[in-house]
Amino acid sequence: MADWVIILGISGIYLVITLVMGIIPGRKVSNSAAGYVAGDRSMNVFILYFVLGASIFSSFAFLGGPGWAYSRGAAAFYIIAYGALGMVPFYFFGPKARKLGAKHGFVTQAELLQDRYNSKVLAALLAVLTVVVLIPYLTLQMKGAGLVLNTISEGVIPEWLGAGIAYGVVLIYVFFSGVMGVGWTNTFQGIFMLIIAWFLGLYLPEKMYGGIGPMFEELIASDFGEALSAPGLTSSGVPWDWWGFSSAVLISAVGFSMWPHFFMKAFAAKSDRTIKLTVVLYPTFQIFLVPILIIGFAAVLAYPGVEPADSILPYTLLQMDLPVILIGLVCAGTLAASMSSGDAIVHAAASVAVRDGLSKSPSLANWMKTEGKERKLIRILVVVISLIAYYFAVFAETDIVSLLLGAYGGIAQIFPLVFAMFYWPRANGKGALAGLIGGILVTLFFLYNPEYKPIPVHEGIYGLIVNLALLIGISLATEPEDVERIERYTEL
Amino acid sequence: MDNKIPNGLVFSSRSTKRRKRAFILVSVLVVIQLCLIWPIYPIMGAAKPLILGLPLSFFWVILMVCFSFISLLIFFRKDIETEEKE
Repeated sequence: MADWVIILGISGIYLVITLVMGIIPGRKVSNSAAGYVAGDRSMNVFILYFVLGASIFSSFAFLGGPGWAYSRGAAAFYIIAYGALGMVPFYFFGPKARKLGAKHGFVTQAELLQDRYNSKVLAALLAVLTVVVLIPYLTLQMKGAGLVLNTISEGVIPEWLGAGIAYGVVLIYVFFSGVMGVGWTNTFQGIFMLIIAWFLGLYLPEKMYGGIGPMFEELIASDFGEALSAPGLTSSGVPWDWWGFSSAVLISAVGFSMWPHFFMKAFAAKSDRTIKLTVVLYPTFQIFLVPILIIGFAAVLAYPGVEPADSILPYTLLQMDLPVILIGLVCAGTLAASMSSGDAIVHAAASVAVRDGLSKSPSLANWMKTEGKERKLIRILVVVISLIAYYFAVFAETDIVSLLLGAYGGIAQIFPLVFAMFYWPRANGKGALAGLIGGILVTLFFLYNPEYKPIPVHEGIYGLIVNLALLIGISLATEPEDVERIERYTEL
Repeated sequence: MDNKIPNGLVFSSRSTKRRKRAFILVSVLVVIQLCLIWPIYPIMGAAKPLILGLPLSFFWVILMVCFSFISLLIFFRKDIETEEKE
């Protein structure tokens, strides 16, 4: 039997286990939107930890992480540096959001903001923003899955088929089980990828250099030594500057907890303590990036000049004389990383599109009042959004990576609104709307016209400055919202 | 205009002790974040020496993740104690 058949067999077994684990939990939740979108608000610490952890560590972790370490050296530490604190705001925002959600029936971030700022336009705008940033994100996950299956099958499985198989599985369990399908599969996938990452991160340096210490000693003595000093290199291979590194860390840390598929899990949590404990434990998940980056460093001297850098992990595995079962497990682990993010993304995008976008149309809102109709519509959207992302992944030649790079700057613009929602009673709908729109426009402007930047910091920083100025200025210049409304959010 | 709505920021008034603790936590975390960017990270950002087999720049980042974990854990335990007393 050819090696790739065994490898694909292992990936196949993994896909079947995932499918079964994803379908079972859906039978237990109610067929309401709260059941489908927020799991009847019943997630415990164990599930929530893996849902949040695994949905953040996407195929970027397994492919992009080693790729960054391999090609950009210390710049890769940026990924750890923003995650160290990125989740902390959720410790404070999460429980507040959860309580309000349970009381008023909210299941998305935009519903919460819409109520506080008394603005349907704001919710619709957030719905558009969410879908626009989540679709390219999903597309990248699909491409990752296709690339892995294509590489290990030595080209027998084309990328379109690989992405189609992996995401067919995701589509089925998200369709049937909603967020609980995401929860249970992410737990399985999360444990699986943690084990694989730690094993590889320790095993590869041992086998290739006789340990992590000797590996870095050799690296420092080589031409690559310079790149190990922070902040490493840019993607074009020249030294990165501190402006760029620091501002990228800051904007990502601010945006981290604002991702819609992340924030809305507050509504799925069972209790305040569940959320808090998940945030506290999160760095234990974060540390899993350490072996991931070590995998990339291990390849620097052994396999120079591999293009694109993102393929360094599968490339290394195929070059080394490794047991075939191990390669199969790693491939399944990479699929797990891709799918555990993809499922949360498609679920969130569909939920938000319906709850915050389509339901604003009066005729649809009326239709959805019947039990189960809303869930039906979200399910249709799950299929539609998967198909759109699949189209981009397979057929369209748009530059998706640059879209996604801009996304963090855009997502970070939600932060001032969420902060003011809970802590600044004077903030009102006009200010929030102006801040968000202004912030996004400025971020987009500098993303596409970087030559106008006064100093070379991340475009999202400029967006945030304008965002804050507009939020504060316009809120103070106009009437505040009703006292009763604000009292739900802030103790006066 | 309604005088009930203040112009400044309002943090929970339920427990001054918790608010104080939260401010200490946030200050500690801001310092940790500054250790991971300019101006503090450049000081600890060299590749040498190797610590526990890792370049200083790498070890330093991991150390900061550990510090943020410890500070959050302490805050969380106090938080739980207060909740249980109430």
